[in-house]
Amino acid sequence: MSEGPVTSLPYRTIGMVARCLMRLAPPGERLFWAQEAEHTLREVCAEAYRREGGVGLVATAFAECLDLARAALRARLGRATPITAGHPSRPPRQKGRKGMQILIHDIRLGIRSLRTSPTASLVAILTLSLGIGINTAVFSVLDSLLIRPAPFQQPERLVEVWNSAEQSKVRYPRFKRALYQAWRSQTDLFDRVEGYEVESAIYAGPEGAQSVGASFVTPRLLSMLGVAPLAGRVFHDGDGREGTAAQVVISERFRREQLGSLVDVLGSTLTLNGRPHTIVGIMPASFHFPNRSQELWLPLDVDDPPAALRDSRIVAYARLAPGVGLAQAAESVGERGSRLSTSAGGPASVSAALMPVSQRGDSGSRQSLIVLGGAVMFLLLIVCANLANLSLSRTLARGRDFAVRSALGATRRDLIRETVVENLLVGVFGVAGGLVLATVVLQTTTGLIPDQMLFQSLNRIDLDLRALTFTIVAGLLTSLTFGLPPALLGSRPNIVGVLRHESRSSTGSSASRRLRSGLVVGEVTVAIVLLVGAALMVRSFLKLHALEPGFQSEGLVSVRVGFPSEPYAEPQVRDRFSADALAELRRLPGIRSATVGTVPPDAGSIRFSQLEFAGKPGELTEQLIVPTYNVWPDYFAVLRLPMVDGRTFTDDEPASSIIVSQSFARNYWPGQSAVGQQFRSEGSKTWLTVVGVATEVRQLSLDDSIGSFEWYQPQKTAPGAAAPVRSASPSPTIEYRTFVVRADDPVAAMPLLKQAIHRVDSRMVLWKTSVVDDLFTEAIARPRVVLVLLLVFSGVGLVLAAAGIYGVLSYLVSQRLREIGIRLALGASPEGMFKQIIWSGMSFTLAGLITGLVASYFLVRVMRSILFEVEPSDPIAVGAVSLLLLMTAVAACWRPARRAMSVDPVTLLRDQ
Amino acid sequence: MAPDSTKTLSFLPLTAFAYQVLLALADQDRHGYGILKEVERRSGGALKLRTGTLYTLLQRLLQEDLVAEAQSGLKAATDPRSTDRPNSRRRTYRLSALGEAVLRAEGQRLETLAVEARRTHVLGDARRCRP
Repeated sequence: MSEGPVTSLPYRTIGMVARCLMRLAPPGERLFWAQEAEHTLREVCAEAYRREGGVGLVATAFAECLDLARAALRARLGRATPITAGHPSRPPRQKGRKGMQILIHDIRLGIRSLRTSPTASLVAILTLSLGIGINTAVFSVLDSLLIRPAPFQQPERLVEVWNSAEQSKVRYPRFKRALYQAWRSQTDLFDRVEGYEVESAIYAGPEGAQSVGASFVTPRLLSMLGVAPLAGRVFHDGDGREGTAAQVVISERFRREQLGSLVDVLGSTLTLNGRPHTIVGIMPASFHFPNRSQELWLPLDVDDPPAALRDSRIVAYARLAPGVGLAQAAESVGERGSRLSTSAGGPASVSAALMPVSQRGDSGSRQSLIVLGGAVMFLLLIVCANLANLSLSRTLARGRDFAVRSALGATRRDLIRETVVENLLVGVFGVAGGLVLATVVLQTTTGLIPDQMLFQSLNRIDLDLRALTFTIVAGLLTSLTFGLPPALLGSRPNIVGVLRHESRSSTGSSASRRLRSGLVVGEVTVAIVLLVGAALMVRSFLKLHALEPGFQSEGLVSVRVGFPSEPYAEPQVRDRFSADALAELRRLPGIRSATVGTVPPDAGSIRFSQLEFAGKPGELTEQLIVPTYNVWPDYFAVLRLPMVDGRTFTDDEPASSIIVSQSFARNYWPGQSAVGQQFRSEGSKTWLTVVGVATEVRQLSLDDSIGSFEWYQPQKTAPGAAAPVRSASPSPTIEYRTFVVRADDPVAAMPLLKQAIHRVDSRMVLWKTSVVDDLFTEAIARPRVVLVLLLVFSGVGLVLAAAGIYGVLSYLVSQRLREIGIRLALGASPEGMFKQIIWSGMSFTLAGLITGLVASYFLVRVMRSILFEVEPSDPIAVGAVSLLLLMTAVAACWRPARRAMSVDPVTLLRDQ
Repeated sequence: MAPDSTKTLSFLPLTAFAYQVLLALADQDRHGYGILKEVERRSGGALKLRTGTLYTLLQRLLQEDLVAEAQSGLKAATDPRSTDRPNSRRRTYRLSALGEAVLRAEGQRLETLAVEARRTHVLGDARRCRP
């Protein structure tokens, strides 16, 4: 054969493909035959061409390449081409190839072993997927809301400085301008002190006026956060001063939803609160500050603010100076707080406290998430115990197999390794299933997380790299946790014993029996902790649900209305509108009565103040937090909120009149009538006179314990009277009022109310229309979510624990069949056997119950802050849980016990 | 030294390909392509041995000492039966003593089987059977 044809282009191409394919073979073998094989291949192809032409060449080249790839792959997998057709020949092992070959061998063995008992394998994989999926989903939420730092530059060095009342330890944000400036000069502690004020603005868009979350920020705040704008710029020094052009930075969401059709957004103007503002920048969609509902940022120069903003209060947001630790800064802030407060004209009793940005979010939500995180971890533990039990059964059932292999020379290490690899395979499948489940759970449930819990989170909730890492680590750790102990036990086969025994059933050593029992006790223990947690939540939720709000909430609908600042700057104008609107509302069909005033569970405005009573001049109370409702005279009648003492407001009530709640009256004027008593807030000149005492109302939130204080102040006051005292600064942009009606059909009334308000003045901004009963439902949304999730987790936990008990008992019975048969043959009663098996099951359960109750006594204490009027050691919850568990355990024991009872000694002994 | 009979027998039964490759090397030393052609010729095209399988098989046979490398390249070139130019990429293979023994043993095994088949009239002619 000449050199010509085999070196021409088609053959060179075939040679190249062959070389590529041969790379699949391990390097040692490749070196040995690659060149030679390529040459032979070309010759074979040339021969085919001579015989059958082009078609023959292509077909042969294809078949040869396929064969080459197959041979190379087989070599890579360590499966040498057999020369003996008998038992599979073993390739000589070479160093370097060994690990990979062994692993592949083990994986193949593992898959084969899993396929021999498909149901058990599927159950194991599904259980693990469930455990890992739920854990991953909850971790993602937890990570986004609690663990992952805010997406700002060096978020761990960002802090807020809050007021801290010395006596009551109450902390609250927002400083007066002078105090903010005093803090800004503490340059030894802070690199920069910036500030913000959460507000809302009325945006006059093409679809009418609406209220939009807008924050005033000091000009350098956005640059301090280190988040680059998507387009345009953030504010410069000097923006937001009196007399400068009005500017605004908008969020990407606002641009998309409100300005979608606009091409040149930058430089165009937005009408906010009746004034044109130039858009100078767009922040990215992932940027949320200071909470999720903010869409606009307006500049505020604290040193020279526009006249309308002179009295506004500012939250100090600072970056720690380089080299200053958090603890050190917190201590210094605590020390200087009182001095700075007095220097800025504030009370000496109020100091300051450092609030790291990373620890924001209300404590209730944090605690709820921590409890849920703990609960899913426990669920994963139960899953682990269950899988360990399943894996142990599988390993023990193969005792004979192991013994044979040991006898043939398999080392214990081989057996352990194979078992672990098999369990890791379950882990890998479990992780895959878990990821799918987590994705589905997150996609379907993120919308169900109450806003209350998401509000403060500045991160997205998604399955990111961290969640992925968590899942994989959890999956592998889990499979090792449940895979290793059975591997260690199962790999110690008693060769002689097993081989001599002709019994088909496997035998478990006493160590494996102990392990199995221990696992079940552990499962029951953890299940009890979960169940106690769930039961406490149920009790707490039921108590919350059963609370009376203090007034008749049925049929009430509230409409929150924003007044545009332009024609409604004066309170009298707002009063006039309110009166007109009420008249319009009362004329609507199906409306029985209407009034103005915030309705619980909305708290109106919250007052932080210390009080001075007329009877004890100069003596201040501790710092109080009092929800204050600004109401119209017929408010109490419309809400059917009964007065305990005194009277309600009149039409021309002086602004100094106040109605207090029963608990307030009882606390400060015990044993006497509160009506006619006087008190005033610290720093206020006006004495407030109590004209009436109202029944206590509830916000139905967890913080709302019995004995909370409320104040009612007249909103509609006599013309010329001084405006009501307000500790919270009046909003510079807008004032809200809430109109309340009692309707026959609240849902049907909602659209009518909106129309009626707009009939009076179409410029009114409708903020929120709600059925008051729904607000109460919303108020307990968080406990409800925690409750539902805990119920699900503990339910799954209980089922798994029951499955564990069932599995162990079934195994026990199958092991003791011979013994049971003999006993029955010797005259033991079937009922006796039944009782005995039930008792062995109950002994695990009781052991688990006791340890579980002890553990839950300590563990559920973390739930204290999310429970409402329920003690963590609540006897009813604990009793109910114990009963439920015992009943479940009896049910789980039933079948194995029945089986023991129905053993036919004759058949059994004959079979054996 | 005659190969150990236990070792020889441990290779039996041979796979069809292994048997054919050893058989191809029985009468003369061959290089890879030569083996392919010989196997094809002997089996009348019924057994299609392909390059990848051939070389992985040859490697196993070399490892098990059933086949050895003949003097490579040059010898092949001086071999009058070889049609190839001298080529360093080319090895020529020969049967080892063990290979011969295994081939013989496998041949005997097959013969015994064939005899058994004849004796039970599976092949239709019982008269030609040997004791």
